Amino acid sequence: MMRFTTLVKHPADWMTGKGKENAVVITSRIRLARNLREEPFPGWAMKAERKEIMNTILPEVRSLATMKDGFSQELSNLDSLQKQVMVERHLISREQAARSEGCAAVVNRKQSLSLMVNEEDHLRMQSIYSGMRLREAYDLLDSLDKELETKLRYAFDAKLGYITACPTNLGTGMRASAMLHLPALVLSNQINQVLQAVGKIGLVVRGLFGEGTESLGDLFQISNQSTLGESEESIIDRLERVIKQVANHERNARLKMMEEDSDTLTDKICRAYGILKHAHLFDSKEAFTHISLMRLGADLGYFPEGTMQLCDELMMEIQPAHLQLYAGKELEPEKRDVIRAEIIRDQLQNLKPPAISNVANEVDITDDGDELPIEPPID
Amino acid sequence: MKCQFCEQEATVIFTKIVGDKSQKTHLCAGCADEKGITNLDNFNISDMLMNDGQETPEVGRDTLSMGGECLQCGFTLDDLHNVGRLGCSACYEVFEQEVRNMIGNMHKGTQHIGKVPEGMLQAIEGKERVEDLELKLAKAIENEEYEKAGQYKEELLVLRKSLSEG
Ligand SMILES: [Zn+2]
Ligand SMILES: [Zn+2]
Repeated sequence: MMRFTTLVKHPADWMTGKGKENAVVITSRIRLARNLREEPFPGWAMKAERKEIMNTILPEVRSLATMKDGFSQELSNLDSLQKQVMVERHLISREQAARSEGCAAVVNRKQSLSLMVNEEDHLRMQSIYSGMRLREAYDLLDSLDKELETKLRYAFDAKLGYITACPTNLGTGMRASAMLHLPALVLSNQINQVLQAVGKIGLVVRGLFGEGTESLGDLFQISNQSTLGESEESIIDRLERVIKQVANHERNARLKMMEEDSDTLTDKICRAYGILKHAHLFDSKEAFTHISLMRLGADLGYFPEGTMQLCDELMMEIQPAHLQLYAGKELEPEKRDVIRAEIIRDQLQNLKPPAISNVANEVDITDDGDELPIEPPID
Repeated sequence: MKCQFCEQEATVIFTKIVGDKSQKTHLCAGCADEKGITNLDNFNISDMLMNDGQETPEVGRDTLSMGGECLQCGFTLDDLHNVGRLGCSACYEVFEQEVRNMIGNMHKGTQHIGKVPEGMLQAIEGKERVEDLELKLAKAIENEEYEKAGQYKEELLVLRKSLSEG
């Protein structure tokens, strides 16, 4: 069995993103919700019932070949910092972190699969891959699910599909999502227009903004809203089409900025680098703003290969629980800002200044002409 | 704009867009940090304010359920109104009417399309055939076609037996 320290020492497969195109679509994620027939849902079950349910599910999950040598722990055996670290690594939900007895988390070695027992539903399984790989993520979960359904009595109804504690998840019980990095759409003020269009076609967008036009990490998540009345296949299809179009808009915006105002862009990236490398205090908001620009620069050739992964790792490491794990103690917010800056300076120690001459000057903008909405609104 | 969690000035805006609506949550840097702003998957401010990005479903109070309580788990209609979630899988039959009202605008459809657990398909088909035969039987009796009715009765018997053995 994998220890917690081993789990956090090794980055997840998706974080290293090796050999995969993940400049714009950072990760693809699928989540399935499943429940046992006629057992009370976790939120309604008594503690003893919850434990019994966990003891039914956990051995089956642990014995799956794909989960071999993975991490498996009852949440009551983890302290709050450990749980928080797992939340920041996308391995468990914040909701699950708040639970303890009768709840468990199981993670495979590559950290591409994580299963939560007794979250909102009896079983929540998720797979996460770097880049645009929703289909692969689904296939991996699907095979796992097929194995489990022969061992566990799933609650299923011919009309309502997989039965879930909340009616919003009925049907496929599937939430598919992608995390996108869209700095150029933010910088060029196109982001609202693009995201509103995505919202109109039955998908959900989540994102962060600073005051005004100021960007903040430029991270956005797009996911499906509806789970009933549409097959897994068609949900993923639709999502994939939309995400690819958004990614294309982002790509074009990046190229256009390079072509039309490369001095401004270069200046922004150089400043981000300078501040990250020398500042002594960083709240996470400021850190994310600069890391985002550096990540953009990495994609456009300002930095050597591997810099994008470095940015992704930084975004993970400067989150509050990771910081405290690094420091080995609880930290006041002000103290966190010092440690955060320390980690960033340390990581960027050997990174050379932006190489302006390396940046591709020849740009080829593919103009697909059509604007979102991509397809007629769904009714 | 003030932070929605404390009195400080908000500098971060968490936005969620669904359909034509966009919901905004204003936070100060400290609270944003505390609540894991960059972890959009797990960003639970939406949980606290908007319930995990899933709107808490509206449960119409005008529809009264037949039973009012699930015998399997003791969940009542009041519980459903309070939490917007159900108690167990059997609740979905007890509160069928309420659930139907809830999912009307929530999803693309009301009939599941997609994956079916192995072995479940046959059971479902069997159940549908039983329902079909029962309907035919009732009609035959109504029309006083007793010969036909007898035939349906026999078929039902055989089918039920094979299903319970299967
Ligand atoms: Zn605050
Ligand atoms: Zn019930």
